[in-house]
Amino acid sequence: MKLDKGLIAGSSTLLVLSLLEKEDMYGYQMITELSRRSNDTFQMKEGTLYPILHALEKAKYLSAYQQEAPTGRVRKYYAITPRGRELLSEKKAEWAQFSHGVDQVLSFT
Amino acid sequence: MGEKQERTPAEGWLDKATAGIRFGPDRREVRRELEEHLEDKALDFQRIFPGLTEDEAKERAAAEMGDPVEIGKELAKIHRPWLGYLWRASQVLLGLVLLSFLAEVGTLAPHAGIRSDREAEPGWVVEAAFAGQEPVRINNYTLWVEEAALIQGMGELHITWRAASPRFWEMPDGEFSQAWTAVDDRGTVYTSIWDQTWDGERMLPYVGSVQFTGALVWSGEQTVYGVPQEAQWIQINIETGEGTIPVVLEREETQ
Repeated sequence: MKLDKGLIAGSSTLLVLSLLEKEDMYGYQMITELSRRSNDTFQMKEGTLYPILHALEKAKYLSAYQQEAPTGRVRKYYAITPRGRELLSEKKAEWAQFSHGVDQVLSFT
Repeated sequence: MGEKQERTPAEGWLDKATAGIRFGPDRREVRRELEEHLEDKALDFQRIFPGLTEDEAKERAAAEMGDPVEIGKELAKIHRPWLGYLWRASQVLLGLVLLSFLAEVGTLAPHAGIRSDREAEPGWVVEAAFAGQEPVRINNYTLWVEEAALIQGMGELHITWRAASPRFWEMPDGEFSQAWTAVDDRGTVYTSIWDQTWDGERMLPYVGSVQFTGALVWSGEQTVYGVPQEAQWIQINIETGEGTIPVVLEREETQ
C-alpha cells in the first residue's frame, strides 16, 4: 500500500532523522533504506528528501561530508548532529502523542 | 558531461532542478549530489532490467525522480543566494581595499600630497608650479620630483618626491635623506639647520627634512621655507654621504 503524499510529508523530517540515528547515509541510500524498512510503504520522493536534507543541514541538525561509498563512488553523506538528536527526540514524542491520539479516536466505540 | 552537443534528458533534468539556485558554488554542489543520486538509481534500473542502456536507464531514473521544476523551486527556497552573495561581496570588498592600498602607495594613482595639503587649507593659492628634470640615481634608488608648488604669500615650496628601487621593501629614509640644502637663482642658500629658521620676524631660508611613506614606490614630502615669490629655479642638494647630488626645480610657465 502506498500512502498519501501529504501524510508522508508531515512526518518526513522524523523519518529522515531517525534513519540517520544509527548510521550516516547518502540520499539514495536513505530512500532505498526507507523503502526496505517499511516494506515499500514509504516511497519517499527525491523532491521531498533533498529539500528536507538541505534545510536540516542548513539549520545544523545534520552535517554533511564527502566519502567514497561501498560502490566505489564518492557520495555526500549526512550525519545527525547533537542538535539533530534533540530535534529527533522532540519529533518522536510529538509522533507518539499524535498516533496515540489517533488510536484512541479510532478505537472509540 | 558538457562536451556532448545535445543535453541528455538526465542532464536536462539536473539543469532544471538546480536552475533556481543562483549562487554558483552551491548550485554545482547540489547538482553533483543529484547527479550521483541519478547514477545510483540508473545502475539499479540496469540491474533490474539488464537490457537497458546506460542512457536509457538514466532517462528513466530522471523521470522517476519527479518534476525537476518542482524540486528546483524547493531547493531554490532553501539555497537562498544572500549568504553566498555576502561572501562574494566581502571578497570584492577585500579586493577593492587591496587595490586602493596599491593605488595609494604605488603608481596607479598620483600621490595626494600637495593636493591634500591644499584641500586641508583652502586658503592656499599656488603662486607657481615647479618641475624637476630627469629622475636622479642615488645609491640603489631612483628619485624624482612628482610635484612642487610655491604657495602664495607664504614663501613655502611644497615638494612631493618619489623613490623606487629594486629593493622596494626598504624604506629610502636614511639611505640619502640626511640633511639636504638648497640654493635659488639669487644665490640664497637654504640651510637644513632647524635652529636657524627664524630670526624673530621671518622665516629664514630653510629646507625641511623629507620623510618617505608607503611601500613599493615610496613617497616623500618636503617643504622649503623662505622661497621668494619671484624665484625662477631652486636647486636642492641631496647629501648622500658619498657626495652631493643636485636636483634643479624650475618654475613652470604660468598662464
